[in-house]
Amino acid sequence: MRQTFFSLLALIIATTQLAAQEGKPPKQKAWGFSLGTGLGRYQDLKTSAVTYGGSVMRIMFNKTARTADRVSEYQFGWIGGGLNSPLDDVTTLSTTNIRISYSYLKRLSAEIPYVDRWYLGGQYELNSLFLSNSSLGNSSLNIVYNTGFSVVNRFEKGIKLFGRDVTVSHVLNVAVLNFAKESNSFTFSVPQEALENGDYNTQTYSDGVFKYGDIASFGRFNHIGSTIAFDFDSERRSSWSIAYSWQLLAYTKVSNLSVVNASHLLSITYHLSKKSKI
Amino acid sequence: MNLLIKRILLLLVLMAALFTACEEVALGPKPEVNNVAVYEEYWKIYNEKYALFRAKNLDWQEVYNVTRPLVDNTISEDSLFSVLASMTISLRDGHSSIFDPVSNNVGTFDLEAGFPVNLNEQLIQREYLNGETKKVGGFTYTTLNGDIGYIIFRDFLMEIEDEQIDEVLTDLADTKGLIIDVRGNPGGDPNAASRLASHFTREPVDVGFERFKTGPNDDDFVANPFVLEPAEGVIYSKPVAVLTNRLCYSATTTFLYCMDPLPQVQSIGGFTGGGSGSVADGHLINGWIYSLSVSEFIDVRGRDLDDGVAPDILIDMDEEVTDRDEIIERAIQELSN
Repeated sequence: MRQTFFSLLALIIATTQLAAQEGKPPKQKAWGFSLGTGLGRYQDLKTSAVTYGGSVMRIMFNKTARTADRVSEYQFGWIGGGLNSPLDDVTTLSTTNIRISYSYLKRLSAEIPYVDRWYLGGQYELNSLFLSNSSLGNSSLNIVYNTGFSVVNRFEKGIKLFGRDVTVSHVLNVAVLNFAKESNSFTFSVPQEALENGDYNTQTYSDGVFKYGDIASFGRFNHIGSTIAFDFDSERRSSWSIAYSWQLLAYTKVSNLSVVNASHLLSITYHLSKKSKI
Repeated sequence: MNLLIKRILLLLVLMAALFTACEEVALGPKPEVNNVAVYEEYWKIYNEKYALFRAKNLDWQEVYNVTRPLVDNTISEDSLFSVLASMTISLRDGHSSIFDPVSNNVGTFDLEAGFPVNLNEQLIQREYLNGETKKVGGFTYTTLNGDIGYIIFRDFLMEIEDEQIDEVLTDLADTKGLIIDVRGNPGGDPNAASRLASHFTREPVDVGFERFKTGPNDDDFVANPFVLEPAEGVIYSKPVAVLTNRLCYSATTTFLYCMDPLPQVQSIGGFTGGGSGSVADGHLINGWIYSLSVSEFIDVRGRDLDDGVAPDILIDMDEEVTDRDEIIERAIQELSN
């Protein structure tokens, strides 16, 4: 059911089309610094069926290189915040998500109505999600790591907004194949494989980031991101954009007890271009 | 507002709605919160995750049969809490509890009830720590009768560094035997407990295995063997007496089962507290916090340790005697022979 839903979702978003006018792709390199804020939600069924929610913020740096037929981008981002229980005022959680990614997109020659430029490509990411629930003891910390590949779809369209040239873009990334690891098992605060391999003892047990994870794909490991951005084009070296981003991570390691983390963010980004050729 | 801006805003709203709906699917149905749902969730969590039903010889289904009729959606929150607390207490497990973070009510087993205290700190201070006494980290130590080392360690929540243990054991290197008094130590970090024990062996030692609950089915257990590795620092290999009482619990049980197989070590004192398993916790759907044992430790002798065990030499202190600690005295006697 979930797999079907996510497949449909990916299809719907991939076919999202933005109304606008014709535009011309610039050729440039740019650095960006982004600040965002919004809402986050978290649930870990291994410790509770309660969904925690609250405000989160994001700080992100990115470097983008564009030519007429490709877009590549490095991103380094941090999302963190405090979440609360809907049931009482005393339970608070803190969440931290650190993500590094590189994406490479090629422009497709196919024409789509209402879309100026259509890009398709891939993304490699390193992602770590830390969740700390200070009201708990041994189960207070859960960490999900993943590293792997996503497919990325990008639509761009030039429009006039408030009398200015604006490039509207929609980027959708869907994780395809990941090495994923969760620090907590069905019952205890070590990975499931460590217990099942009989490797745990209180004196010498340790696990590095890449020990005890496994390869997970769509259905068991779902990581979807969607960003719609409005870039206010400028002749000067600096420019601004605003964006609405959503991301969802849902990872099921054992017995259908998922970890789900989601965020909705509004952000503003300051871009500094090194050079630009039209 | 022109048409384009309206369309953009509409698009953003639709996207946010779509994504939120997607989250709802990933999060699953929101649980209904009422007395019966809370009870059923609590019973199910234990049924799937609790590791000690066999060791405790407890039929959890029978607990359900007795307590479930006491719960419906008309009883008060306090009454529901009392039912869950009674279920928890029936486990006879100090690691298992139910806690309401709003009212601070706790339901858990009273570990010490029915057992002698077997510890008088004022007596120890007056009669045994009246000479030169040193403190290093959480260790308090001295020598008794001139050649018996005496170390008190009351809390494994205190950080223990190998260097601290080295310093203590170097100071006591010229003694002919050592008393380690861990009475009243309720536990803390089991890694600290095994670190301390690792300074009393020169060889790896099989100390037993920990059976973890790894899935929801009754037979989803996996044994994790534990071989105690020797420390790289100072090793004390002369005779050692470890003093026990009922409050030796959790990580102190880890220390005891690590020390038990060592040939120069004997335990002396009262019945121990147990609490051998690892612990997990979480929130019920109404916000109450549960805690439970998700493993049990079977020592190298094949004993279930969770209810506590008798030491090698079982002695209970006579509370009428106020000028000597009979457990320390017996340890001195054993180490002097």
